[in-house]
Amino acid sequence: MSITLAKGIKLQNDKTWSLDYKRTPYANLLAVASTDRKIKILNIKPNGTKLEDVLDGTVHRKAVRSVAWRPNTDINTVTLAAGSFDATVSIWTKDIASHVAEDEEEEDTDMAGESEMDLLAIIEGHENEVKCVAWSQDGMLLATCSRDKSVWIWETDEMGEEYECVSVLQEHSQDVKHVVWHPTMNLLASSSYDDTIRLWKEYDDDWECVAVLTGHEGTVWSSDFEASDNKLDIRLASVSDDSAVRIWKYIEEDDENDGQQVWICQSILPKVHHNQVYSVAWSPKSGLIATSGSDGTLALYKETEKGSGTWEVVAQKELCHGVYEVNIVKWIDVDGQELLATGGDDGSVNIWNFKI
Amino acid sequence: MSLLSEEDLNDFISPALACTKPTEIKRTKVKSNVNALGEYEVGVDDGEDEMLEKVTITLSDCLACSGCITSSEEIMLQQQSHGVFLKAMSNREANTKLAVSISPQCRLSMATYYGMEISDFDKCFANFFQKKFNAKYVVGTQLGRNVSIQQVVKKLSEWKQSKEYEKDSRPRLSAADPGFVIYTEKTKPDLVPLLLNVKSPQQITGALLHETFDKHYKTETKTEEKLYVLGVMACFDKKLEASRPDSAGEVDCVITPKEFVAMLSELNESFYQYKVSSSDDILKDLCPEGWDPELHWCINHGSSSGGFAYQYIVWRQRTLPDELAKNSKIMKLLGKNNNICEHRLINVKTGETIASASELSGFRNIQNMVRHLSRSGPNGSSAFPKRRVQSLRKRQSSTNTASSTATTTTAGRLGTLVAQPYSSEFIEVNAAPGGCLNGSGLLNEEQSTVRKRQFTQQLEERFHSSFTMVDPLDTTQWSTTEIIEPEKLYEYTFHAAQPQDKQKDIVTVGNTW
Repeated sequence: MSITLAKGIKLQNDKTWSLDYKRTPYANLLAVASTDRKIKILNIKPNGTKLEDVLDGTVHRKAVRSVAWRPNTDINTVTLAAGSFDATVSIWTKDIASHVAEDEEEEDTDMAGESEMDLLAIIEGHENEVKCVAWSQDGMLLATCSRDKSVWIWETDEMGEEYECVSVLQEHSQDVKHVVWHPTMNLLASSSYDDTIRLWKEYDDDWECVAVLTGHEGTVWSSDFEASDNKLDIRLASVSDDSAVRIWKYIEEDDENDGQQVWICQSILPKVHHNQVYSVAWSPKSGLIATSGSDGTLALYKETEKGSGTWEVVAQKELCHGVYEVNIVKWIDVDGQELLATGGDDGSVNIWNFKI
Repeated sequence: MSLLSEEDLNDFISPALACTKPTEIKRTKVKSNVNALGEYEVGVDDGEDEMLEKVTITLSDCLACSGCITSSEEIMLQQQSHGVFLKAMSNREANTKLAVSISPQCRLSMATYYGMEISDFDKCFANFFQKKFNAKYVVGTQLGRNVSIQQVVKKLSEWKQSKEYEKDSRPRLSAADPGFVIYTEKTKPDLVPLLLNVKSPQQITGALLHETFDKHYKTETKTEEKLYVLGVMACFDKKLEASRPDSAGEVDCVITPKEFVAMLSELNESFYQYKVSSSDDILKDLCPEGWDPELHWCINHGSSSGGFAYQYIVWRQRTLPDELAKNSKIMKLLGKNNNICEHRLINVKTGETIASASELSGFRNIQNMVRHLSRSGPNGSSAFPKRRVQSLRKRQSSTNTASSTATTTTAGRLGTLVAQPYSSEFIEVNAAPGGCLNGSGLLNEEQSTVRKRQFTQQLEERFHSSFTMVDPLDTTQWSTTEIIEPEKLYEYTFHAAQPQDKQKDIVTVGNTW
């Protein structure tokens, strides 16, 4: 039951805010969002990690807060969305067909001036800091959220070049910190400074809030859905300023209120963090939940029996980024082996092995 | 109208929210600073310490950024309510008379709420104001709307023949929705030239009431006669419209049906005790001198928010040469969602579009529209190469979870023409999705958003059959021409905000994670 550092990469002096991972035939791409405005792309390989690309740092005028790879794209294309404190979202793309037969040698990691991803679009609309961007499972919808208390849903074309606003959802009463889509359905969860999580679904020709999850006693920083192919089996994990990790479970449609859903709080995980918990990731492969927070701890939890709602802590590591806060944790599948990646205020990205 | 102070707003909005109101902050460079709100502000450059001026925010500023809208609407509900009207009534001088105007959407909403037929409601409403407040005039807004529609049509055709049109053929946008107007003035100043400068029915009705009153009561000896105009309107933005500097002397106070109900409750009055028999002539008694007594209580065909776009196309068809008119048809095309549609006048023989005007409502659609219009620039040429959005969602489907490719969704629309609002000559824009019948001041007691929407939809279905129709383009029908000066234009004075210097954004601690 241990977590060990596989690789620590000091990328910049400014905070690492967000990570997102995408496997491609030629590389395992980890996108990194940071205060220094330059999005970095790392290639995570079992035999070493390479800095693949540094994107143009002049596109955003302020910190890049969130990055997300577009799912379901053409096999020869990778597309990345990035949300910034400058209130805009940038979309980048790269044709990777020419990289299929790549030189495996480690190159000089200094990629100054040479960026291979093209800027495809800049999306404006939010009034202030964009906190998170997230793609739907079919890659056709992009959700964005902001300190302006709203969640926007954008529709795009196959190329990912044109974006039309499909809905502006203004039901949170405070800053919206995070949005995440269900892995197989067009169901969106948003987490907010107003201590709630809201679930959104398409209804008629607009998007509606189908449930409000209340219970956390502080800002909800992040949430993640359990991987599931069954439309009736939906669970969501959330983390908060109140240092708790909660599991919410969908029960049924609420027949008395059209379109509304009934959810319950199924469990509160055993306490590990003593301060704000910033990030949660629910592994699609192993079903383990990972959390990270301001106390520098990375924790792993396992359900005693799938669906039971009883969880135990199976591993934890303190001071993952020294005394710095750990803003993000992600599960990454590196050529068949499941690892963890974290990003912290120290400007590092750490890759972790674990054994349970 | 009472002004808001910053104190009130602090309760609802984080003081760190940067207002779009252009403030005159005279500062050189800011190092570290504690500003007037007591916050620690971090500037970009090194420099001297300097205190920022405290910002005073007024109502007319606050609707600008939609982040504030919800909060300020709540505040208005508390501070800007019927209280202002009641106070004005109790403090008024003997020679101040009262006129009340009410929009058709309010009449339908309130009649439904009170369980009355509209005709009974109108009389009961008029009787209430006469008995309780000694009202001199109680009117519907159709006369004002007729004038507004006429002027829209006139200005659009003048524009189309002007040099302006050659330089910039982007659609003109209606200015009848004050929320949209203020939003454009403050946050999209480059689109202000696209606003078609014609006042709304609310304001024109107010102006006409004053003109009639002055004509009949303000004589050389009786110059102190005054008229106080109360408007009963569907939303709170209408209050802001009445308080614009360019609206002075038209409408004194606007309340919504919600506030009317609250007012009655406060006064311990029952609306029903003012019911009169259907043969009662009260509406004639309270009709302004020289006004056709029935016309101002009617409505016209077109959207339930005024029908400006539709009436423009009707007028275009009527003014075609006979041969072409015979072969022309007005089609209504639906857009990618329920809040977009286009009225297209086509030549049925050639399929060619002769004229087009669209309706567009709701913030999400306004967002796309302003982005599109700003980008396409005056010459109609695109700043970026345009790609059509290929995957239009099915409008009917609510559970489409399969990964949709371009072909599967557009297949369902083969043979159906889709609204193209950005190619229209005119777009009737409403901030509320669905327009005035979805106004936030109307009486909709449903709880869930879904039920609320269904209720609004029902009102929409009943709207046109609930009133008598008039033709707003046919002035021969109105027996009120003597009170309407044909050359007089009712126009706003738009103020496009100066583009903000974005480098001076204030970054406040606590909002950077």
